[in-house]
Formats: sequence, structure tokens, C-alpha cells
Amino acid sequence: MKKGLSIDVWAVIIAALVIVAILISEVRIPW
Amino acid sequence: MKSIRSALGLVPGILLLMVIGYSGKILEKAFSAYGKAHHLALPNIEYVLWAIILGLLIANTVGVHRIFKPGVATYEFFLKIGIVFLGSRFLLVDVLKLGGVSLVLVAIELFISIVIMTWLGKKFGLSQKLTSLLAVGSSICGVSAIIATKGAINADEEDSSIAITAILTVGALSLFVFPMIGHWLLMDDRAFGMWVGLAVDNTAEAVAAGALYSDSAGKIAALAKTARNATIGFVVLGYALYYARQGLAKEIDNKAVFLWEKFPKFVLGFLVVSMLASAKTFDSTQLASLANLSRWAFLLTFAGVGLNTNFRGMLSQGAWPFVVGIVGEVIIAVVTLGLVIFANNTVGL
Repeated sequence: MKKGLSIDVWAVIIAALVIVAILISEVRIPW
Repeated sequence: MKSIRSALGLVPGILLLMVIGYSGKILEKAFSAYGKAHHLALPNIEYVLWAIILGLLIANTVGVHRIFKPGVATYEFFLKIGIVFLGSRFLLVDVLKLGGVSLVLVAIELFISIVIMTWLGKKFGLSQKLTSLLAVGSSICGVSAIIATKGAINADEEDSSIAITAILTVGALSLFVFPMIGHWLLMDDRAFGMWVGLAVDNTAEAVAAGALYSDSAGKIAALAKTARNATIGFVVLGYALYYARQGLAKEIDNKAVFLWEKFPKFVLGFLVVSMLASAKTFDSTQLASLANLSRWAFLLTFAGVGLNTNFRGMLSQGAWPFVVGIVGEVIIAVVTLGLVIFANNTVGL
């Protein structure tokens, strides 16, 4: 069995951190 | 120490994804500016296609050097994080409505594709486990479904690599064929997005095929595909129980734990972000930032799709699994097209 967190869980954790950063800061992401 | 070294090992490949993805954006602008400057009626080639083409060219000419491989493989991660951010572009009611319609269509599709693939596999003399892997790959979500099923039914390495290659080959072809058919049938963005979300196997290719049609179709394709992915645990469990009963795989001790292990967790992330957006947690600037983050993540994914498509590798796996894959996919594409048109005309999409 593979140990550690899956890609899915990492994606959710990193997304959550980025969302918090966007909510508490004035940072804007252009396209 | 080891984890720092493996994290650093991802850097060259991620940089390559960024360079190819961003070049796609630059090429889109440059190509259209060139057409305007020279008064030429050039077709509008989106960054999505440029990124995929650049990746394909590199993978199939000079090849991807092994220094880039670990980082290039992270395109799956960017795909998932892109889908989580995409949640911000959907209201929960929309997710529930379109997701609900998708789930009903997925259930019908699942049944049809398992029957078709099993029949085709027998007809062309493929092994039972290879046929099961192809059936799961074509009905649920390509590579990750095949990998999940492989462990659960105790299939061998060769069968799973053949099934993965067959599914990826069909996915690569779908990228170009589906948008052409969609334009030919004058499909609207929602119907087209739903169709590719249901018919194209691998999530990255499904989102790319949708995005090649339009930004809005890409969004719907991601939603429909995410709903389809959410069913993976149930199908893998079904196969695992079937093979265990025949004594060809080990018994499942706890079905709930098994389902949770196989459930793609990013689907929950997508739902939570959509809930937050529906509860007006974000202002318009923050929403725009999240939508743009999703686009950037998909841009890296599309570069990865091109870089991971190696036609030479595909041809070396023998013809029959591809014949089964392609015939099965054509039937599934036609059936799902019929289902989507029917759903569009009855409940509306």
C-alpha cells in the first residue's frame, strides 16, 4: 500500500491554503 | 532530506509545464495579431490547443528528458487543484442540478459501457481482467479508475499498462474529434460540455476537449466529469466483490472504508468551494482571482496532457486492446450524445 497523502488530498490542502490567503489579503490573480 | 530532494526533483518538470503553458498563451495572441496585421482570415487557435500541440511536439520528437518526468507528472495535481478552484464558478444549485443529471446519465452510461466492453473483450479474445480494466477505464475515469481497479481485482502490471495506454490513445484522439463533431452539430456550450464530460475518459482530456470548444463548455465538462469520478468507488467495489467471489482477488473486509479510500477527495473540495461561493463568502475580485487560478492550473494540465502523449509508446502495445477501446468509445460517444440531447430537450441542461 502507498503511504502518505494522495494527490487528491494535497490538492484540497493547497487549495484551502490559497483560498485563505486570497480571503485575508488583497492579492489579485490576473489571467 | 529525502523529501526535500524529491520536492526539488519536481522543479524542472513544473517549470517545463509553465513554459509550455505560457507559450500557448503567447502563441494564441501572436497568431491572431499576425492574422490581423497581414489581413489574413486565420482560425482562432486557443491557448489550450497551442499548449497541447507544443507538449505533443516535444514528447514525440526530442522526447521528455528524465529530469523533467517527476515534475511533468504533477499535471494530475494541477488538474485537481484547478477543479477545486473551479467550484467558485458554480452556484451549489447548479452543481446539484447538473451533477444530478450527470449522475443519472453516468449510471446509464456505466451499464451500457460495461456491457459493450465486456462483449467486445470476449469477441476479440482479451483476458477477463484486461476487459474489466478497459470497461472501468471507459466508463468512469480513465487512468485513476484503472489503477484503483487493478489493485482491487489483482490484475497484472501488463494488463493495466495496456488498458491505460489504450484509454490515453483514445483520449488523445477525442481531444480533436469531439470539438469537431460539436461544431458540426452546432451544440451549445452546456450540452457539449456535458457530452465530453460523460464520454471522454480521462479527466484532463475531458476538461481540455471542453475548453477547446469554449471556456464555458470546459467548465461544464469539468463538473460532469467530476460527478462521473465520484462514482469510482462503487464501480471498483462492484468489480472487487465479483472477482473475490470467483476467488481471483482478496475479500473486502469493510465496504465503507473501501469506498472512502477510493473516493476522489478533490470532489469534496470542489463542493465546499462551490458552497462558499454560493454563501457569498467571496467578493467579485476574489471570485475572479479564484477563477483565474483555476485557468492557470488547467493551463499546466493541458501542457502535461501533450507531454504525456507518446504515440510511439502507444503503438508498441499491440492492436487489439486499441480496437476494443476505439470501437467501445465510439459506441459510448454515440450513446452519451443521444442521452445528452435527450436530457437537454426534456429536463434542460
